[in-house]
Amino acid sequence: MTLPVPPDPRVIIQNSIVTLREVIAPLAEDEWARFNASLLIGALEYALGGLDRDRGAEHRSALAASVASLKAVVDKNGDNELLAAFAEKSPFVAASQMLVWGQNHPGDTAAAIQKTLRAELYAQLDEEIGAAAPMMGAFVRGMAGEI
Amino acid sequence: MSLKKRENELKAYLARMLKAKGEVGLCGEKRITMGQSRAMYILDVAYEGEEGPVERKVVARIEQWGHLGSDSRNEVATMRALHKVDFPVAKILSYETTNDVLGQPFFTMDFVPGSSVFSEEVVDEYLQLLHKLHRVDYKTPDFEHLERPESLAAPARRAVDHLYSVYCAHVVGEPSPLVAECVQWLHNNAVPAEEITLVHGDPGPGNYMHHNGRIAILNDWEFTALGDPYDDWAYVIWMRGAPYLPEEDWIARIERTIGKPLDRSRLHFWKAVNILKGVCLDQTSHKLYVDGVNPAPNLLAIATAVHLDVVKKLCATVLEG
Repeated sequence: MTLPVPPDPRVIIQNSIVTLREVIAPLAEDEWARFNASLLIGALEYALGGLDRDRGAEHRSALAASVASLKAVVDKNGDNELLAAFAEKSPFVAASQMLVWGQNHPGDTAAAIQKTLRAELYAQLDEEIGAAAPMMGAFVRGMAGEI
Repeated sequence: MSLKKRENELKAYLARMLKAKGEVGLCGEKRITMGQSRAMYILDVAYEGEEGPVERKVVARIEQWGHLGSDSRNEVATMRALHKVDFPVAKILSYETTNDVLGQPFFTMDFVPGSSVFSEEVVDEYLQLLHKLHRVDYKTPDFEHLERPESLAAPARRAVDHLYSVYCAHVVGEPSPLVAECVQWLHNNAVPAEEITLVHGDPGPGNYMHHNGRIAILNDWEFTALGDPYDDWAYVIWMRGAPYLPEEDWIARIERTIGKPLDRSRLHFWKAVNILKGVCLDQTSHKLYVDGVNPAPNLLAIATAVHLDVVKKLCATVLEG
């Protein structure tokens, strides 16, 4: 028989976390097994947080917009090495090239690039650190022998 | 990975390595949590030796597909060389360079009883030993496996370039522009060394064992190189030592040990390089995990939470420091 409505992946993951925490983990007496049990709980919680949104795609489009917003500043500077960054398909590669250029060419253009791109990249970094918090908690607890 | 799947191969290998008369009994194996770059097992073995029955513990340290960007060659050669000059390291018993026995290269060493839990009682003795390491004569044939820096300027730039090459080789998806910018800053501001010495590369609490109030051995020699001793001092202060003693306490103890003040700007540079070390070496976890080479969840933790945390620290130290 086919299920008329398949179970929501979120529910499957949530219930797996409960089973791991309440059934499997307490039975894990070996140090390495306990460490892994703790990490698996954290990994599933981390995965759960990624079900609703494609954060990778959001970061890509937000960074592309930040790179594009610097076009006038870069055009005014006119440095060919810097202009070449706009030919990159990946906004991450383009932003890397621009920030590296900024380190090698201090000045107003570099400062404008750093201000715009770092603000966006720091925001993305903070969001990802927040999303990975269950993983960090599990790692720290696991290293301490706890679950 | 469990050794159970390879138990027969391992027992045959141990019998050859230990020169056992007949079979080696493997009475117990325990994987220890410490050490993310290698799988570490304590093996309880029993066998008939040349002078009668033997029961002993042996440690097996197994590579993890290049995790954290290192292999065992330098580690084994360095430990053998240091053992020869009576530096406190575990004695290497054997080195298996093929994948035939356990699916990865590995080495075995003497089990040394002790604890790696931090104890303030042995901190100063540990720092003296690290200083002693920096004074070991590396210009002997036993240390020829280590690359000799061509100038005092070389260690800093070589460290930054090497770490970034490891990072780039293991990028999954997209590179981090913030990492690229920090690397360029470090490259542009590389500080020449005052002297070239042996450098442990991963020193501090957790990587030495103590027993009855004395240091028994120093562990984890996979990142050892010839370089700037400030590399090690910065690692002790801000990486491994940070959870245990305040920064100024570490600095005061190190200055007492080496008998002169530390150069704070050089120390800051190596602090940043050591954070970069975390960023770049942790990236190897990401690739191994997503490629399915090693599905262990500790790799996911290092690839995500731990990695992001050190990227943030790198930016704070290099770009905002």
